[in-house]
Amino acid sequence: MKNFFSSWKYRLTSFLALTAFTGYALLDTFVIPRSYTEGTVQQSAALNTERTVEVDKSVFETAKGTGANAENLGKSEEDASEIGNSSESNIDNAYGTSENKESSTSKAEEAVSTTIDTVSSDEVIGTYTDSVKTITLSEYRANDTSIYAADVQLLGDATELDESAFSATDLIQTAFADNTYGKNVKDATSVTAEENDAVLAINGDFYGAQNDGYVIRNGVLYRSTSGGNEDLAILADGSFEIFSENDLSAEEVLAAGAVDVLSFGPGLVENSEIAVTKDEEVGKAMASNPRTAIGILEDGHYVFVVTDGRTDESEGLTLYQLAEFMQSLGCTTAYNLDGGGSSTLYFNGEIINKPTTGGNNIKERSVSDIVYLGKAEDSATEST
Amino acid sequence: MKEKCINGNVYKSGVIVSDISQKNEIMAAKGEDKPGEATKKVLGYVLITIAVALFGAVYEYFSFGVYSYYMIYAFAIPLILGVLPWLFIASARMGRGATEKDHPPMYTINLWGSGIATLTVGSVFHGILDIYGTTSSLSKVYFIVGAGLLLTAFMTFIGYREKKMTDARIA
Repeated sequence: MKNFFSSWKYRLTSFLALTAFTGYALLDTFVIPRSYTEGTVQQSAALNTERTVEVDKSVFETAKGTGANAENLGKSEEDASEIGNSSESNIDNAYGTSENKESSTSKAEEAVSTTIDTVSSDEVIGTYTDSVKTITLSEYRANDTSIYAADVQLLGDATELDESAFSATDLIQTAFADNTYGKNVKDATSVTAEENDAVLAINGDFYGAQNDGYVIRNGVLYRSTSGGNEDLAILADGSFEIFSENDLSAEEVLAAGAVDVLSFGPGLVENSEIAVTKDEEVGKAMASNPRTAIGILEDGHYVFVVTDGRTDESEGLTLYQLAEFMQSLGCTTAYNLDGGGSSTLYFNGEIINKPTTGGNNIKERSVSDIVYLGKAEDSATEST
Repeated sequence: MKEKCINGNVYKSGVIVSDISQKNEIMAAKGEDKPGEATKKVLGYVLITIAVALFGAVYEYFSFGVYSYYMIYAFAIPLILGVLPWLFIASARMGRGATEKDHPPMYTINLWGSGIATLTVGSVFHGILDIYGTTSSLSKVYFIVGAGLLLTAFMTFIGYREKKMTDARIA
């Protein structure tokens, strides 16, 4: 045995074993699709006697009150795609402010006045109207970046949350690529959107790239393993709640009436105030990148936002700038989704932004899930 | 002409060979060229350290501001576990007459080397995943196997030394 370990044969064997294992590990992580549908669909949201889901927001209020997790927002260092960490100071002469790591411990409002420059007046580039909702798509320009915002307004009775006035398809929905819950199961946002007859879609939280983080979609719980993330719950009444996975279990969130839970973060705007702390800014994504975010202004009034980035035309936004932009639109709650090459806005059959991973090639990235609004079931629609 | 290599010195018919180049020639011919071997190992690990550091730097450069300590500091593994011990061995051999028992046997060297390789590849792999933004339970395998190989190498070296010291006492 000593002879084997002393010889070139051992060196060759260990080299081959290391190479083979690494090849397998890379394939398993990035390529080999694995469907998780066998026995993982855990429970559906309980329906009350009127066949609607009961919403209990007190669960979230209590969690915020007792949760000792004010610091523990957002994801751990195992952050999802393209959210980054810059060790360099973000000195930005255009705004006359400078942020560096030393000031990271001070409060956000003190060290930073405003980091987003004046947003140019928007240009409406598309509209869609049906009996239940109106979607207005506008393009903005800020920080050398093109920003696309789809304003979704539920009409008339729908804003009073009268469930009989509108159907589930009129509220925000989510979908998996290939209609399959799994790892490395991916498709372009536009493809998944078309398969689901979406009029408006953005990429989701790319749950498929993570081994943990709650996954609740369309009222079904798929994964209850906590990743310690800050999540967004979209409740059955269309309202938004941002919570920490450390405070609430997935089952509790489902029982509280959550129809969809997105697990990426961080929360950008909460109670109309910017919620991205300085620690998060430094710790995660000071770099300018393409971004995707979703926000709610008031009952029945939402905004889906996607920015360009990493190109000569569009630099991209930092998380803080994104939060400021969402706040400027009037969001009371806003949440950050997967950015970078994943950021895609699909509207009326077209990709509106310029999705890119490296900046040199405009191409959609395949993602594991989307957030969308469906076309109305009736046929009376107008769109431009 | 009886040549013997004992304790890092070369003896020709009982007389110590003081000429360095002649000594090296004889040692090389006898395969006892341990100082040369150690120096080569040092150089080899220095090159590996530089290669890993460069790879990490280039990878980070293209990663849109995302960094991973596993990627950036992967080079520290061959540096601390490879360069430093071999530097010590090379200097000891060249200097103050370390004996044969201080030079690790081939199987220890091989096990230790594969431990370093496993840990380094594991660190780079974990760094790639970190930067992409995902995790894998397979990452752990590298660190467990790597540590196991290093531990095994260390234990075989201890065993070897014990044996040599026992042999010396008996002889």
